[in-house]
Amino acid sequence: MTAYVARRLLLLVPTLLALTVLAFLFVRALPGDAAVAILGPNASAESIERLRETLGLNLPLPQQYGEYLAGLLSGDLGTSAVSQRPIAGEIGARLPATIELSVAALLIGVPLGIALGRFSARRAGSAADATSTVVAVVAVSVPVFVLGLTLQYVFAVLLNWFPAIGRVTNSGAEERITGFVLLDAILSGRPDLLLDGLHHLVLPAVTLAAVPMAVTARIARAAYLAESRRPHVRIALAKGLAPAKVRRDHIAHNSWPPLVVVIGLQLGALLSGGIITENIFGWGGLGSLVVSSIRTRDYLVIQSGLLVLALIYVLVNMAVDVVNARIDPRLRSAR
Amino acid sequence: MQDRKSRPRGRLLVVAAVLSLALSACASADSNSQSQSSEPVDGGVFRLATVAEPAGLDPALVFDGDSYRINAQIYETLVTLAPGTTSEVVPALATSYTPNEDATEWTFQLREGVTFHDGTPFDAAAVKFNFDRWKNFPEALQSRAELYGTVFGGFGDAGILESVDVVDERTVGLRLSAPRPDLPITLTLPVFSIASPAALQEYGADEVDAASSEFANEHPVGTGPFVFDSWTHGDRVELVRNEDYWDEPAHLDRIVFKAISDAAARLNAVQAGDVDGADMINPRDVEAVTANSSLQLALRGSCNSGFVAFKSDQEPFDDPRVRQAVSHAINKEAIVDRFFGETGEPAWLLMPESIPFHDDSLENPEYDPDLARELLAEAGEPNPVVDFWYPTDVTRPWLPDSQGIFQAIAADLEAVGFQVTPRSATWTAYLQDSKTPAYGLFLLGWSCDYGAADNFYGGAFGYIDSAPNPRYQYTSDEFVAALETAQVAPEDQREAAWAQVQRIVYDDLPVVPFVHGSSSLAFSTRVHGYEPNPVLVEHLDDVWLSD
Repeated sequence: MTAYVARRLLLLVPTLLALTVLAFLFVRALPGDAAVAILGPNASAESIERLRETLGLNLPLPQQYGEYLAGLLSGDLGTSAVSQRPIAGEIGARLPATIELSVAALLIGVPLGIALGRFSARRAGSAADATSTVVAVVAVSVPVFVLGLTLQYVFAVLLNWFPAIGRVTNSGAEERITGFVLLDAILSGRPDLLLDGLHHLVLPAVTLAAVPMAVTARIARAAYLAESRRPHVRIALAKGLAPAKVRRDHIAHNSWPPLVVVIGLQLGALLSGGIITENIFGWGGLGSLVVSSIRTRDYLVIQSGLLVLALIYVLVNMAVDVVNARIDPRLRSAR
Repeated sequence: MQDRKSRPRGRLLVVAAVLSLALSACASADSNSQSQSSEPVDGGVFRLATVAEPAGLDPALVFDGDSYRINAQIYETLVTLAPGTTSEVVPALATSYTPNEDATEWTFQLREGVTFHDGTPFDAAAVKFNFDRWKNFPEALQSRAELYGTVFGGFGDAGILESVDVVDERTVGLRLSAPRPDLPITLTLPVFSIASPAALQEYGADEVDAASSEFANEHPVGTGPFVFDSWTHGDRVELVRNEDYWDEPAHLDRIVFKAISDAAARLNAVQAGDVDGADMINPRDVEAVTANSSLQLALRGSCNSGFVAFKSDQEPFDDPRVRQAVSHAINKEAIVDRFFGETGEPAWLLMPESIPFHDDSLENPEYDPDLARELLAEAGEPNPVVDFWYPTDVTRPWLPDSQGIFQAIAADLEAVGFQVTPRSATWTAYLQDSKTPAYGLFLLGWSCDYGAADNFYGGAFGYIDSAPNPRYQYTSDEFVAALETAQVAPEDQREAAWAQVQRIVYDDLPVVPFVHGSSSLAFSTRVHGYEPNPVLVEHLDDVWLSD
């Protein structure tokens, strides 16, 4: 197992290196640059050129990449061209918000998806199955911003059940310890703030949970059905084993591996959907940072932001593989 | 000059008048007039949804609207704008100023009893420190202090600011190497905010090697009615009332500026009551706001124009008749009605009426497609084939719906014979590429930095190093001579001189203006006293909240 993890970790190096190249080239393929974005339409060509020099945008691309990589290797993510702040700090300040939202969305989406999937698998072909299929298809195909704005309008504006934006009420009483609102509320022993944080979390988390919920439901249904049709299930039932026990030990358990893989992959949807969700709900996370940086062509922030997102994605998927190897002994021996 | 301190607190009436105008069609006008008569209440937290986080809180180095507004609460300038105006200069940190005869020496009398938020005194030495700092910015910072360069013609000795002299504790003299009659209005720009010299030094404001200054992020210190409290990056900036303000302290206890980049989400947030105001309302949502009895709309007014621009040195646009044809082909009224509604006015001059020396005698060229066709025929170009450019991914007060407005104008042009090929680019690329010859015909606009004729005409069409602005290639010795005369004209000749400048551009048509656009804010009806301003110098010390 240790060797397996070590090898996966080693593979990270070329993956991330390729990623830095891709991110670097991607942002430079965007038309326009930060100097133009910062100085705006009234600026003279001369001052744009001067700022470009200050920002190092006039250097040859290989040199710019070399400097960026050298910085990365020494643990320096660089400096934002727009705010002139160190990027590591910018990302660090926003990461808790993104993680909190993603985890909440996973906690809502995955159990709901599994429950829905198994529910329809057990009733395959029934009206209930058809309904849940429709729900899943709708959830996966409604664009995140449409769902987000609609939920916001209905539940915040019309019904006033939940706040429309933000992570907290801004009462001034919050204490920033870890940057995780819920965790900070617990650490500082403030149940009111915990409730306030949860209250704010509901709409964005539900918005973001829609896609993972739907995908998980589809996979859970398929995996459950596939397992339930296998010969050993029939034999177990024929031997007179209690159906509930068969479902738990022979069907549900064996349908886990494909599910775990899909849940890991859902993180990609969470990270991309998170960018939109964060913008709608004024959720100051990594996603909104990347979006605003694309608008201002803040190259290094985009590069480093993407790198951190990708790193999370890669690490989680690695963790998923490891978990799977534990669940399914066949994966271990197959190595 | 009217003293800010003695200014009647009746500012509110002005904005209330604007608001009730905007609301005249809806039932809430009554409740609104009700609140006019009530006395301001102290206290409360005012939460405003903004488009973006500020770029930074060192006022000298940023000029985006969201930084402007926050900095306008923390800091003060020597002189500022009367609420809601773009050109009426009123005292702030200086109580008065006197220029010498040729406007090269300016003496400012400073207000007494003012202290910075860190307790250090505001005096002539502090003013000198700030001016010297701007003038001697290291190169890396110069490139971000664009407006200092614009106003003083460059940094260090390359600019016209010769020296800043401490005459006595309360008197500062600015000596210029060239006349600058409109110096006072330029000094209302938030980039000329006076910051605490002690804080600037202690928190390394000018250390460019230190990736970001602590000053601009954690310790912005000025003299304004609000004191910086905190900046949660990615989320919000909070200010609290300055209890030791030299004027009457502000009504609000606290202001929270919360960035929400999505316009629909901002509106939802103010409707849901999560914030008390939302900036930059989408023009197509304006009706929804005025129809909602729990909201009020505030229009900023305009300090800009949107126009169709030419490369005047390129065929077919080098023929003035072709440019005139464009001017008569565009149905400005229809475009304003359809895309701007209350938020725009048809335009024919570069600057709106509110700017001093606006020439009211020049009239909107008539919308006349037949005349446009005739002009094209006379020019021997009945069906010019043109690439017509518009920017994507941008909204501006003068361009709320880039593609829609482009299509409407293109249709007008095609109706008189032009054969239009639509071309588009993303905003940052567009700004860059519109300076190249590929852009013969394109949509653009001019947003003023400050409300003066020179900022419009000099800014857009003034020569750079004796060459015309590459974006328009508008070459006219007559214009340049008139501009230079107007820039330094003595007071009694200024009106005529600027009229001359406007007349030349009006006749030459290097661009065809079609709109003066306004941005707008939506507030809950609890909010009173917010004076919107097209140049975003918005002082919030008179804002108050009712229950």
